[in-house]
Amino acid sequence: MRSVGPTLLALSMTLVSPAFAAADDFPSRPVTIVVPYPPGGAVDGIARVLASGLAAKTGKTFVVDNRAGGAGGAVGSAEVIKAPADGYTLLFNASIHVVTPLLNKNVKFDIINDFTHIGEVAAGPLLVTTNPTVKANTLKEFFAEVKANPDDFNFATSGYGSAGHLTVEVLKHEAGVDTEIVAYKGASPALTDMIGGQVQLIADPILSSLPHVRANRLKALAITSLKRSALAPDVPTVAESGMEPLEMLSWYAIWGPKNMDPKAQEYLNSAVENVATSQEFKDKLAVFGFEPAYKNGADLKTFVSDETTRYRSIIDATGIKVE
Amino acid sequence: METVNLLLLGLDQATLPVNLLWCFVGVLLGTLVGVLPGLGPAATMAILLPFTIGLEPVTSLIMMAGIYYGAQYGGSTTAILLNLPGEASSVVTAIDGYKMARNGRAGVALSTAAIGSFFAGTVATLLLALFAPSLAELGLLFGPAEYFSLMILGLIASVVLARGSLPKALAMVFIGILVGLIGQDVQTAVPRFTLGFEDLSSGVNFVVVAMGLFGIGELIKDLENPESRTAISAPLFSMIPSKDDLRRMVGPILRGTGIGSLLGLLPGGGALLAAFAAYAIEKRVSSPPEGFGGGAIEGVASPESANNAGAQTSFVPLLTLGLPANAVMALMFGALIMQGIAPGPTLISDHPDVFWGVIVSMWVGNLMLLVLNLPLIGIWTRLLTLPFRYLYPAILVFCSIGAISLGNNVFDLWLLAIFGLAGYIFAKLDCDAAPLIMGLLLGPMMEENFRRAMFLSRGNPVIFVDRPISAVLLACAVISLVIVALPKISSVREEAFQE
Repeated sequence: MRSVGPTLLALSMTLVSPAFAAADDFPSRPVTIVVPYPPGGAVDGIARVLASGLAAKTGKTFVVDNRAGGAGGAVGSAEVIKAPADGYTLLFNASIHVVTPLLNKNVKFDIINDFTHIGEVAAGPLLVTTNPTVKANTLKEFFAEVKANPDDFNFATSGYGSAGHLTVEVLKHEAGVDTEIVAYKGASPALTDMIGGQVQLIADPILSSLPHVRANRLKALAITSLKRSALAPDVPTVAESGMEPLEMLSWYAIWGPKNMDPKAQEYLNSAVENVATSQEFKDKLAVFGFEPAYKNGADLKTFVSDETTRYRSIIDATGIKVE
Repeated sequence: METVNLLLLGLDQATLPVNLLWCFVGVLLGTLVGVLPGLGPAATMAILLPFTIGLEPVTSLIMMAGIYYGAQYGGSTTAILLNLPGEASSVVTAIDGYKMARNGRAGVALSTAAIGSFFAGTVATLLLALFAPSLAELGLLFGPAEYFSLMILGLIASVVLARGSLPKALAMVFIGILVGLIGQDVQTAVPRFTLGFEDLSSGVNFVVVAMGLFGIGELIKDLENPESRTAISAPLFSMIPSKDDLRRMVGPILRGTGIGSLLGLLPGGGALLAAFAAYAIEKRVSSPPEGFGGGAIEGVASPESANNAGAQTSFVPLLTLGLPANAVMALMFGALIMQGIAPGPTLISDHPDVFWGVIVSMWVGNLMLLVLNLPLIGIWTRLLTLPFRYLYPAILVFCSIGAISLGNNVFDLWLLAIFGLAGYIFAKLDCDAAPLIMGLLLGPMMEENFRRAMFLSRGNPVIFVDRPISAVLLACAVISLVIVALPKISSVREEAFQE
């Protein structure tokens, strides 16, 4: 749900700020960070933490604008591509941004060349969980049970093409089971059915899953980082849980339209670096179950290209349907 | 008595001056956005979210909760006065409430809504305080199969409650479902029925449809005969319900509160059904002299109580399990995270001040709303004395601003115009639009849960009758359908609406 609020706010600030900034300085008016989802989720939350950090560090105004719609936030992303490349319109999105064009033929943009890559700010592993009534304590035991009684098990994902979806696809491909993955609209309904025992396997960010593990309503089987996480030290890695080592991080980055004004790009690069490497940012992210993972623009571009290759090979290997 | 101590802790929190102040700001804002069609509580909370970071966690939650239930109060105001339901729940209120207003009983309708809401809010607060943790388990009993059956029951109920003939009501439900299915397929993310419009890929917003069908459709119809809209004379503006009115609203308020409190607990659309379910049940048990749809006070009291009770108990899944049930709850979830509190099953024990403070503040907020709304009724009803030539363009502007405010998107204006025209055609054909709204809201959820249930059962439809709760819901649906379909009874039903 988008709103006029941020725009009005931005306008009112615009009227005030020229007194403080010379016309050719960047930014001389508020910078809009487009979040292509409704407010309230992890992407929105991290974007807001980043925006308030940027405002605190620079003394300028950074406004989060929710422009929901389309697969993996395609509507908001497309709007940013069309925006002027003056640095005043930016995009904040998660790793699904890279997966969307691979899965969805209608999404036309080129993830590498249609954007100016500014920086990655945060990343976090997923928790692979099951319902506590399931006997298995490791992924190996879990898939052995699935093979013994295939009709008693169902897998879930909080969204088609999400990091969690890819994780479960990789695991079930490796284990050699063909259980269908049921898609939900967001983590909340999916976790409700996990806790209620309707579905038995999901990979989902720490933010939404860990509280339920702590309350013994979900059982953690593994964490999708190569090393254990300080946020959940008791949870074994995928390798420790009896499968091939797997790293599948949900990561968050900020982009602008391609060919951005170099002055604006330079300003944003250093401002984002300042915030993403600060202690305050780290403390705030810990609440979300994420850790700062700063990558500068050039590194982000390489990373996006590597991830595209990796996701494409996962999609090809596991046979996820491309529409 | 541990609960008493905890309630006192909550009362301490809720009556702190700063919390009282923000609670008032919340309910006032809520009432205002409820009155404005289009700008709903979710959008308002989204705009305010960044500003809440500076407040204490409990304070920001109190304010946001105030916006939510304040909007439930405000939403009924335009539904009753102008046939413009701004919230899903006030679609039902508009059926009899608007009729009451046209009969010169707008004041009574508004005060009935306020009294019903206050009573329901009080009861729901108590329920929350006493049983919240155990109530949460109830929601977990509902899996995809149960939700599918609940949606079927909801759709059948909307056919039962519609005015006019059964085939027309069924047709409207199906049109609603078709419109509701526009957008992305949940299982594969493929856009469906979008006719190539990217703007339709996230679906059609309910508010645009409701404003078009009810508000604008009604306007066009009134233009054929402009005198009818201003035929209300001033002396009839009494807002004090008569003794007879009071006697008649007791039962509906009690039933509405009960139904609303229960349905609100279900994460995933329960609260949405509350007002519709309450109205459908009221139609079965009471027989007002005006007939339902003719301006019956029961038709206002019951859904208004139900939607307020449901709004309040829908906090249960969020506060006790950390599972937000709808968009508004997702925003509250976001607000908590930004305050550094991870919402989850341990919220009650980790942050008792937040949990109990919010719960008690709901009752305080409801009291404020009553005090705020009763005096406003006099002002609202004056709106109706405006000559139609002023009211007509004002409503059009109002609806257009509402549609634009949903997403800064001109496309929504086109949709508004299309649905306005459709509303006029439906009115001419004597098709009630309420079932269409139900189809629009429940259809996509029904499809989603149907497909999930079929996945879980490996394609075996027995799952819907195999699970006890689902079976009971389906049985209720079949029984209601049989009752309406029986020729004798259905002719009686039609007679009742011909009056």
